Amino acid sequence: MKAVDPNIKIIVNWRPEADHAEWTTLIQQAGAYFDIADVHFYYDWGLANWDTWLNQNPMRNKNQWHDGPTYKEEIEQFHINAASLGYDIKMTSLEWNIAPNESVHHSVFQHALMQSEMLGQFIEGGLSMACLWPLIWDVGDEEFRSILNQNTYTPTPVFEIHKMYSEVLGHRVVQSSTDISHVRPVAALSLDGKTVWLYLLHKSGEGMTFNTNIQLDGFAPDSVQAVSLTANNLNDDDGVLVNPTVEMGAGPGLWRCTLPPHSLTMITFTKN
Amino acid sequence: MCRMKLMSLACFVLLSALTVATGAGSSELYREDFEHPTGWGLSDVGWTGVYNGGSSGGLHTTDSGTANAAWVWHADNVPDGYECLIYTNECTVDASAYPGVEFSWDMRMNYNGTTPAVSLAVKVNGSWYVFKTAATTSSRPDFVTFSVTYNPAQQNWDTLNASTAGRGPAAAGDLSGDITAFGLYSGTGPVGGLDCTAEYDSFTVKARTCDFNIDGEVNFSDFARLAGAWLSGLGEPDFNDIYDYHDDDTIDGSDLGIFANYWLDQPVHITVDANNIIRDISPMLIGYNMSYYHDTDALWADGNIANYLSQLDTGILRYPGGEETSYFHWEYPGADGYHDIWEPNPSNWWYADPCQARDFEGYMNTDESG
Repeated sequence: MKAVDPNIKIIVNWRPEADHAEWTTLIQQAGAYFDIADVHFYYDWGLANWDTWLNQNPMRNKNQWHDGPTYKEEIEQFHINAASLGYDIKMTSLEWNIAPNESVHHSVFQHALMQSEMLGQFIEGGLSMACLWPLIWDVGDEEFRSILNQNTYTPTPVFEIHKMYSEVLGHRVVQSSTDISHVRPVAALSLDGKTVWLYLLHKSGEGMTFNTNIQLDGFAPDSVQAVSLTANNLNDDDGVLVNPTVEMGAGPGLWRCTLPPHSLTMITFTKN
Repeated sequence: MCRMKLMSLACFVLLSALTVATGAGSSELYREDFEHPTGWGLSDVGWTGVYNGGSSGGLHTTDSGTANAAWVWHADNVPDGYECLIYTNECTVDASAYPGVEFSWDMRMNYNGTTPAVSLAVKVNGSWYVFKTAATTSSRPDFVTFSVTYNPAQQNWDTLNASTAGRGPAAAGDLSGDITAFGLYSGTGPVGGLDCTAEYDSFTVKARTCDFNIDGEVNFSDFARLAGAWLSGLGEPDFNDIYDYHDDDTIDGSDLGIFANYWLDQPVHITVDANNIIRDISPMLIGYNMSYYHDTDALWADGNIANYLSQLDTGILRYPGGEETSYFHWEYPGADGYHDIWEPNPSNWWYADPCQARDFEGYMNTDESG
């Protein structure tokens, strides 16, 4: 196919564990003939559970057959492995979602928040393409949650999560770290250097807010705003968008934000 | 695998005798759980099996990674005694400025012999810490869960015999560093015991905090909870172990003193360095799977779905879809692939009327005209 069309890009789908040895074999044997590796990420197939996820910090590529590292680590390691074998093969996930679990009911909001950690890790890890499964399909209540309600075709909390992350597409990941296990950060800098986005996934709460102290280095903003997706009740399918307060802290670069319980917050720092 | 840094909290003492409502807050601000995927066993990310010895008193220095352990006598950098251990990959804990760290593990073993006492051991930064917690035990055909709390205030572990070179520190200020093994230790070894089998189900590291309600601050709310348990002892209604930093089964001045060290500090939880650019973010991370027969034209007619996708800066749409492409009719794209358009018998459930399907030429012409 490449002989006919040298510009064609060929995607190969194989095992859903990017660190599996068979990927290495495949690249060794056929790496010259494909450009993109497609690894389907369905979190904890058949067993996905909100409580398990809350206590898994950070979230890992986990299912009943594979207890892998984080998605971020798998993506990074895949690219390292491919490069070590002499190939610039990009990794994608053309199917991903929280896998269904018929024995446990989760609200759409809960699935959206679980998805948000996956997507955050895709951003941090350097994934090239990602396609949520599905946009529209014949799905039951406990199956795959998507951006649109499958009966009314109106936006769900998944839509809001994706909308928040869509801000950073095409920009750059910057270093962020956390000293607390239940708040997962992802940070990005705009190409023009005028905006920093900080996503904070608050994985606990039990009705409590969390006063987060943030040290922002290398960027002096003129303004800051924040938006959070949370839920009044975890059993509600619908989420609630609120605007938490972000205040300057006691020292240079220090900021303070109150995170709603069980929420994804996007803080946008901008300078003129 | 598990890098956990525990924040520093500075406190201040309030000596006023507050009588306020108390709450049963959790003492866990940090927690790492490592559960075995199948319930019990050895093979897991992060943990790498046990030392294997054929008989008690032997000299064994290699990690077999098998499920058959033994009470073994190690020659290198281990306690004087016998131990039955799970060895791990690196697990880093920084507890240097934290009021309490708790290690617990569900470990089971069985063996034939009798040992007079068993302690719990954790190997941190290459040194063994053997905790006082001990159990006189005899032959154990069944299994038992072991746990221990490390308490920096009381330093309630037995340091190993410092007079024996390379056998561990004489004292330690905290239990920070790389955890590489955990398990059971016996100073005298089993009597008549031979092989044992050791497995683990989970290993947990938890940090205790003064931030009882876990709202990110150590403040009056937390003090009120401590005050509510003031001078209570183990077994009394107001007693709660989460306030007993000194681990002496009484909530008193020693615990308040520790609480005071963490008062009203504003610890940095999140650090962002905008100068440290890691990598580019692909514009194609927001994408969706189409379904070649569920995504009907009627659903898209009002333009709403296209508008929603536009709002998300959707960078990629995958068509014709996922698993269902295995049933894709190349001659009749858009036809329900789970039915057979070539099936002649309408009474069969998989029958599909070919008149309802558009052939490829018409399909593509329609799309191009649209």
